[in-house]
Amino acid sequence: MELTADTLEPDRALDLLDGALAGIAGPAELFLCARRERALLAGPSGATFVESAGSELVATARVWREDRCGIAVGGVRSSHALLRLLWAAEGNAASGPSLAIPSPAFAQPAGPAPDPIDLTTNLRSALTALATGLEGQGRLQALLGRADAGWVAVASSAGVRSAQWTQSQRVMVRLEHPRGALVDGVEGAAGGALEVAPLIGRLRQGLKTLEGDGGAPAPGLPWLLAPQAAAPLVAGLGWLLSGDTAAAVPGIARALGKKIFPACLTFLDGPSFPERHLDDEGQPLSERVLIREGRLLAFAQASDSAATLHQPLNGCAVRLNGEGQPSARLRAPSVLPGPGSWPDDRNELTARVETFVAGPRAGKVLLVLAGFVVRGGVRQERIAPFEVELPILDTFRGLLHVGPDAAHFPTVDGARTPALLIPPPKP
Amino acid sequence: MGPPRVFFEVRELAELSQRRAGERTLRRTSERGYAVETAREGDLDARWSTVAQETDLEPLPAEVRGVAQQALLAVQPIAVEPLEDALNTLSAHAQALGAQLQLGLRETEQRVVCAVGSTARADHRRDLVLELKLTVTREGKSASLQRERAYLNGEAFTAAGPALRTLLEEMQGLATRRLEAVAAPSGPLTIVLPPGSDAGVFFHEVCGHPLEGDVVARGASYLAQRLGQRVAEPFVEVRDDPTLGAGVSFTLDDEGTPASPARLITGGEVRDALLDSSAAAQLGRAPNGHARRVSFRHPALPRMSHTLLAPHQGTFEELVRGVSRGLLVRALTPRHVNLLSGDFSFFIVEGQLIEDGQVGPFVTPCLLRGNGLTALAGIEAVGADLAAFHGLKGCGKLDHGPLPVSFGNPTVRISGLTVDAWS
Repeated sequence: MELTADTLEPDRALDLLDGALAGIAGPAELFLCARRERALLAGPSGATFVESAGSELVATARVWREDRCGIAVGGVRSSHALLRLLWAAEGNAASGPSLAIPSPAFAQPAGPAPDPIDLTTNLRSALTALATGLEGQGRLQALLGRADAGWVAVASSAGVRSAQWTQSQRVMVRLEHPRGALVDGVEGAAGGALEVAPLIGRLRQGLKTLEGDGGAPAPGLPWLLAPQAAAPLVAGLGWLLSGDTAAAVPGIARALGKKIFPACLTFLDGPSFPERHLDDEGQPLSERVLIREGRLLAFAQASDSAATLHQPLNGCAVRLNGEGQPSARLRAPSVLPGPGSWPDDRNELTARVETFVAGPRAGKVLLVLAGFVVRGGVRQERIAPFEVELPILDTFRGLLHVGPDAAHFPTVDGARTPALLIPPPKP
Repeated sequence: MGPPRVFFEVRELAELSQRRAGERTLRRTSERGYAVETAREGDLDARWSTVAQETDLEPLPAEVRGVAQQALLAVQPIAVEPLEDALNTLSAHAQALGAQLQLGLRETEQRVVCAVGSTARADHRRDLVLELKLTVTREGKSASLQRERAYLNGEAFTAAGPALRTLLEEMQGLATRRLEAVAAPSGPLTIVLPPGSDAGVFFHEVCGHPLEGDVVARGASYLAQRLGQRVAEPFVEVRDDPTLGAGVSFTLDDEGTPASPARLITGGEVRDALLDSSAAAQLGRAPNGHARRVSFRHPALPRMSHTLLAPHQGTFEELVRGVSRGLLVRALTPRHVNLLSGDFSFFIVEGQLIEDGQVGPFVTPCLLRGNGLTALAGIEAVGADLAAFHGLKGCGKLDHGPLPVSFGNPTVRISGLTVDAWS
């Protein structure tokens, strides 16, 4: 029987995965992802689109032989293809990495199928609304969206048998300005209306910040990072607190249980799109709070990092872009909003110009920021875009206040953050 | 509404990586699929499907199906055992040199079929890219050095063992010298990029991206504003050329247009852009063979392939001889480039001081800043020693990426740029 993403349902898929696993001896795991996808790329006017659509079933097999793990990834159209993938993984084991055998038994079926979702209409409406809302605002270099619906299923010889329906949609905008590019987006559940007004507001505010000449931040004044300016730092904190990073940096692992951050910082794995209650090793998401009121409580763990650090699993195994080996990471690294108390005199940084630097380098995050010097609560002078590299750990250890105005940034590793007040960085 | 366009691909990929501790990971990828694209009232409608067996090709026109079937049959999984044996030899040699070796290797074989209506054309693309990172440690201090090499296929790579062992010995010597790196200078400096180095990314970022057709069509390019104008000395020529067989190469682009060199800057003038069919239509031009896709799941976009600064005259030694104080920059990582103003900042991953025409000690990591127009106008000399660089890192654009790209440059000397210390 031909298997397709459109016809196979996840609980039936679990039976097929079990059947394939019965055909191979020793520890093994199968991860199956079904995906229906629509991608829209708007033309220069925002009125025409390139629309790509397709669906696929992609499986990942992991097979352990002694201490080594063989991995194979491939599209599947039949239950026999699952077995072939297991054999291929077994053949790769001798060249594979040394990985912990994952995951205690856990079972959670996906349940009945949700109502069918129209992936295109709302996505197209959101892009059209953005094109209209941003007309005359900078140069609209890119406007694109993606929506998908499907499910994931995981089964293993250790007794994992978990599946979940998934769906999400997101749009992304790139605006060019002579003082730098602004890149931002919005994400939500597929099929529903995407709320683009806050995104338009952020982009307009960013462009307004970049208008006109400006100077440097006022020395000695604290920095108020608007959510869009703070997002890469929050994503960087998520990277720092991944089990994989902690396993590689013993100093971070030793801080577990200690109150190393100020009490205004609570950091968690926030709601993500697609909404997930299982990770990509089939384990339930648990202990979503990694830092509570400044105390480091946990790292994001997948089976391998958890085994290395001798810590419990918490459902943070993520297979990005079809990676065979899941990594330990947060889907939505989030700072919990606070009351927000800003001094009258401050450097208010309200625009972040896009850089090529995707992740932290030597524990630092590169930001190109612009904004205003505020004195007596009034914006006095413009701050021109400037480069700064902020050390993640030290910046959060010095955090002064957290604002109430959280926003979500799908273009920055899904970070969700309010405005953050930090002391002026050391020169 | 014209006839639909079909893009079919079969791709086999084997990636081997080895961490410093010696642990090795193999990743294999097999991609088989196609997209059918139909123009409708200003929109382009692309439907993609994966292919598991020949019967999955039945929706395609018969003429396309036949060529696609041949491509399916022609591609075999990549044999990794000889690659692993060769890597084991290299690791053992590094160990004998008292160094640790991290490595990445990617061998790719891709067959594509592009068709409009019943006319189908096929292309075969194959390469192997090797990245070596060697680390030496002395008295608690470590220094690393990275080099890349590209080959036509696995056989050519395994035959290159002696040359690669010699390369490791050179790297070990340079990495040992790098242990004594001096503080990076700050301020305006003459910059020299050696031939065929990672620093060739400079022209990819500063000239290539601003001259991608979609960027030009949206009026978002600082270089497109100067089309037809002189921005550099007459000997400066920047091309994107997938036809050379050096670096990323193809005979057809991913829309089926014959590949051709795009002369971005010729005689010092901004001349051309990289065009797919969509950008070409928007600009009233003909496509020039630079449509590329990350896979059959993605529509084509105007993208770079092998971006090069064409050779002129002189040797590395001759170009360095004229520098009283400067920096030899072998590896760069982009931090940001402003498409509308041309302002840029790069991280200098590997640099050596030049004093009185002599290459001196390595310097600590630092930053390179400037503006594209100033940099192009500041190209003082271009050597005759063109060489290619093909690394594992790809190029990202929108949410399409990474896509393999390569660079080529002879020795080039640039004034008017600023170096800043990085800590």
